[in-house]
Amino acid sequence: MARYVLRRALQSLYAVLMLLLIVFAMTRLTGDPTNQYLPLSASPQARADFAALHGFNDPYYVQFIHYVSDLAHGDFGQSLFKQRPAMEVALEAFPITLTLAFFTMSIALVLSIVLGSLAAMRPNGLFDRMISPLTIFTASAPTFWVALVAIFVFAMMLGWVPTSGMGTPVHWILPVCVLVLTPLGVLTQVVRSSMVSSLSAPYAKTALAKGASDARVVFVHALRNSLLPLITIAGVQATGLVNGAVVIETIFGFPGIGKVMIDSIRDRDFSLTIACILLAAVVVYAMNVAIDIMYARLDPRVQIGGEARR
Amino acid sequence: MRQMLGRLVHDKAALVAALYLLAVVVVALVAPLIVDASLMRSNLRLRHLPPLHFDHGWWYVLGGDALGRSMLARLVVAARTTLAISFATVSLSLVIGAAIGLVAGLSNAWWSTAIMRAIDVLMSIPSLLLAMVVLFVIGASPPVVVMILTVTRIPIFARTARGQALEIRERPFVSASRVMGASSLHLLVRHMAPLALPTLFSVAALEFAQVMLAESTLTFLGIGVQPPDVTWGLMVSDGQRYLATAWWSALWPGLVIASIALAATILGNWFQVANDPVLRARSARKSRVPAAESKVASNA
Amino acid sequence: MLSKTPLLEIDNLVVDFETPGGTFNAVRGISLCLEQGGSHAIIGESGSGKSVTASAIMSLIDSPPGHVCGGDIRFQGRSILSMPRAERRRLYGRHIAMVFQDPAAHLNPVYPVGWQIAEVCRIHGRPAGEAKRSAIALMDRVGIGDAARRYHAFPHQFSGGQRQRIMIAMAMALRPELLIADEPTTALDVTVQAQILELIRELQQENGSALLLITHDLGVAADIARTVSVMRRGEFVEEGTIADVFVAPRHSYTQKLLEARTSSRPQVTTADAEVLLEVKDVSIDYGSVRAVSDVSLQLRHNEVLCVVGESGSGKSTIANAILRLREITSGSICYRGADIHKLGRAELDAYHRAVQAVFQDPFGSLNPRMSVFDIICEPWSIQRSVLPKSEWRQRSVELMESVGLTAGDLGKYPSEFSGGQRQRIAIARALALQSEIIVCDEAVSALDMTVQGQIISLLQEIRARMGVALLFITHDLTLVRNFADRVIVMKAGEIVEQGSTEDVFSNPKHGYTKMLLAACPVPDPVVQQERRNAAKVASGGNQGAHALARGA
Repeated sequence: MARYVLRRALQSLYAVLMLLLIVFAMTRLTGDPTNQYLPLSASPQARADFAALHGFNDPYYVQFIHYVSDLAHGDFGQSLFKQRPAMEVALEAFPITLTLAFFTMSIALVLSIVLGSLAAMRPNGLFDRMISPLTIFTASAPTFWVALVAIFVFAMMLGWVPTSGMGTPVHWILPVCVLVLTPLGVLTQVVRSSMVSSLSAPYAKTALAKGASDARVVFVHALRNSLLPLITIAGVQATGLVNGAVVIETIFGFPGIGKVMIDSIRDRDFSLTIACILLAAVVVYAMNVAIDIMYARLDPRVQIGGEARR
Repeated sequence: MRQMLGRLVHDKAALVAALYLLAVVVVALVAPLIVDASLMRSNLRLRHLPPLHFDHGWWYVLGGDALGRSMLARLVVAARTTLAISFATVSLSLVIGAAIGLVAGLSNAWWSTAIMRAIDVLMSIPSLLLAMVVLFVIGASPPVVVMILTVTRIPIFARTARGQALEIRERPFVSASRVMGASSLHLLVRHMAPLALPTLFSVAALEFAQVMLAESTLTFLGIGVQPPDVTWGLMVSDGQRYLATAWWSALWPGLVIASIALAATILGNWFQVANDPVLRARSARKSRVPAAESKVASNA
Repeated sequence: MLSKTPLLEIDNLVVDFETPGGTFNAVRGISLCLEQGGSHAIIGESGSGKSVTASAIMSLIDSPPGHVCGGDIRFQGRSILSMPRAERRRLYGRHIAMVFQDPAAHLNPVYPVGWQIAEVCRIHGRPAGEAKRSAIALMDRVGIGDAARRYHAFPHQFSGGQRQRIMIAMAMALRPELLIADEPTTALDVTVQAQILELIRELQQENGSALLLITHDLGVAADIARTVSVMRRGEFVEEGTIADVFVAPRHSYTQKLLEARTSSRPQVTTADAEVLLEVKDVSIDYGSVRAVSDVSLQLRHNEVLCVVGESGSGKSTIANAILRLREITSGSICYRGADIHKLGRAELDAYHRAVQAVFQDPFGSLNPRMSVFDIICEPWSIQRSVLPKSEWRQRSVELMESVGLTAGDLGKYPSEFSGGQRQRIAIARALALQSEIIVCDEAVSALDMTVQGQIISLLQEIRARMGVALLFITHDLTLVRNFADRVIVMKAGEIVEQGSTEDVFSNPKHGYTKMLLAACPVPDPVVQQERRNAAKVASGGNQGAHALARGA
């Protein structure tokens, strides 16, 4: 088990390095890096000093090694706008995003299992006909637009919840509800279709032949098998949640990592952008490793230490 | 082909989706012919004109925007850019991804493994983050948006194509073909591509919706398409500021994005089911198989 | 005795399936009566409705599209069909149990096997601790060694034979009065099949259960059943005791089934014919596993050479090596004296023209998106020099007619044909290049018995008419007897015996060949009884049985 986790972690590390390389190549190969790091108004003298200080005159591979080793030592540079270490700013905003993501994913997982199972029990039944189109709609409606419509209806017209900002639990209701829609739609579809195939699988017939009740066949025999595709897709959705969080935090004025990231891009605060991106990437990879472990625990056919069967 | 059309007519939802997409594409294509330049000029008299009134002609039926331009005319013009970006992205990533995936699936050489490893890494990078870095550095314009979205979408097509190729190449008719002395090119053209394409097309339809959402999101966040180009995402972004006074300026473009994404998804799902006899039988809950296959089913 | 209610009565049962092409009458009014402790076999080919009958008893028919629309099924005098669902559930697993074909799919992959056996007991009200103890005892009884530890193992950690033992343990857990076995040994090797049948027989006797066996295999029926119904197109065409039906079949279909494998072999002398293909000391490794070791064989002009072996014997691996679908690790394969791995471009093309293949799966052998014409012409589109395009049409018509199909079939697609017809198309394709050698890898294994007979006759005819040599790979010994000139028996990657068909069958030298011959059930109840007893003696009673069980 430990070896398996280690191997997956190493693969993720490799991916983070690739991301860094892309970032590095982007900043170094597309012109003067001082353009990225300094405000546009910086004087030529300031640029020259900055370049000398950061070794921009060294060969690229030396620069890359310095760059990575700086990052490895936790040195992400200074945020130009906030005049503080970039990582500090990013870490400060982090718990808010994490809380948002946690609530969203928990709700999406629980609800999708319930709704998907109910829809699968009678394919093309009344409930299925109601739920299936709805899930496709929530999965394909743009989050930013749904957020705006929700603000207009529930905050402006009905006045049930505040339009933006945070502080009280009430402030969380609308963002979580909007953010949950996409993963909920996708995951419910996944649960439904895998439940439909699990329920018609031969082992479901064996269970019936043993005298098992319908509920037992659904919740003991079929559900456990349907969790495997659910977990795989939940991982993909969790990665997508990063995108959604950026949108939601921007619209609802949540000072989470997504908002910080977008602001830093608008302010051309490159060190802060990189710090945020790397932090988000690390979380995504940590989540993927967690999902692989969960998958391995749920599916005995996956050999720990070998490739996960997808 | 005729068979597919026949099945399409039987599925009402898919038929409506297909007709809707077709209509939107036609409107986008003829946009320059029907949209008068005056509709796109600012007209402060018509500023935030409320929708659903015909007093100012049917071009203003959806109201006016902050500069008094016709919402409907802008939606039509934006359709061109939005659809063109999505279409170009999906086509490019389909062609590149499918080529990579099929070749990698056919070959056992070290480089095919290496390519797929690189693809895996690319896939694991959150697409929005990658897009942000690139757009930050290079600057945003429709071609750059297409490029960056293509890169983030290639892995999906490459993986799908490779999965298909790996499955197809184990089938006995491919072995029979090899026994006859078939070249890799022959296998690729005669067996792999025809059998993998339906799946790739259905993925493309689903991806079309995803790409459009991704472009809209980037643009909405202000790091995608920039004015004077206009896409639906940009229109929602513009309208956001006037949510309290002119709700329609954000509602319509978002509704169009949602409905097109919905239609593409429905069509993609339908295509997937229509092409897979197993799924087809299951979704219809009927075994629509000729005698030969029902025998197998009854014996299984 | 007359007043006693029979255990199971099927009374004029009718089952229909709704298909887009109209209603398919799967079962058309069959009746059956099974006494306590009896054993009855329903024999039929695919699509005959035999499995649907079993599903109807277990209420396992997928509805829609299928539904029981007439007749009744009574268990101990009570109608199963009109029983409330809850009451029916109490019956299943406890009084009526079922063993399915394909245990790999019928065991839930994510739960330990012991848990799945114990589940039957728990569903029917036994406390968890007792259920676990009896599950372990059952696993031990069906021959799973180290049961207490293996209780926690998952289905994929067992072999096919062991999985079927587990399914049987599950079915027999509560000593049901009726055991339904649907093709219980179909996917298994013959030696394993013999053990599983023996196990079912023993448990049936221990528990006094009645057995309803569904099978396509006359030998299996002869081995274990006392009465038999022959089913065809949803109806019983013949019923009676197994001795009566098998020895003196009245219905022409039964006669055809029994004759399917007894067609006579034309005497062709090929012993001194030219050697076309010579395999010398070939070994093939899969990673670190040696699949084939030091195999040598010769194939002569116009000869039928059969390679027989169970799964894992390496027989298909050697076929693939000859077809150049798999690299060999050492040794050489020579075609007319030239090593096929050292051929130049033109010679290689010549080899590809000389050697063709027909594979097992009739559904996978033909590209579903190509018309039959395109399929038949594919060899010519690859080997351009063989036939000018202008003659493709005429030649493909000739080929279709030579395999018993018509010119009109050329425009159709593979999905419009039955399994046997698809194999005919595959054979026509293999003949297109006028090859000298056709490698048939389990080419008839997936077909019904009567269809197998037809394809074998076709191959014999082609061999006589066109002078091709056949390398015929199969797991089925009975098939070989009247077809092969020479036989090679393989086991675990090695050739254990080879010789003329007469010699191998009448005077087997190697113990494994003898065991194979003994394990293979024959459709004659008296002979089968004798053979079974002989096999028991030969394997040295219990000790031998346990040795076999370990291998299963």
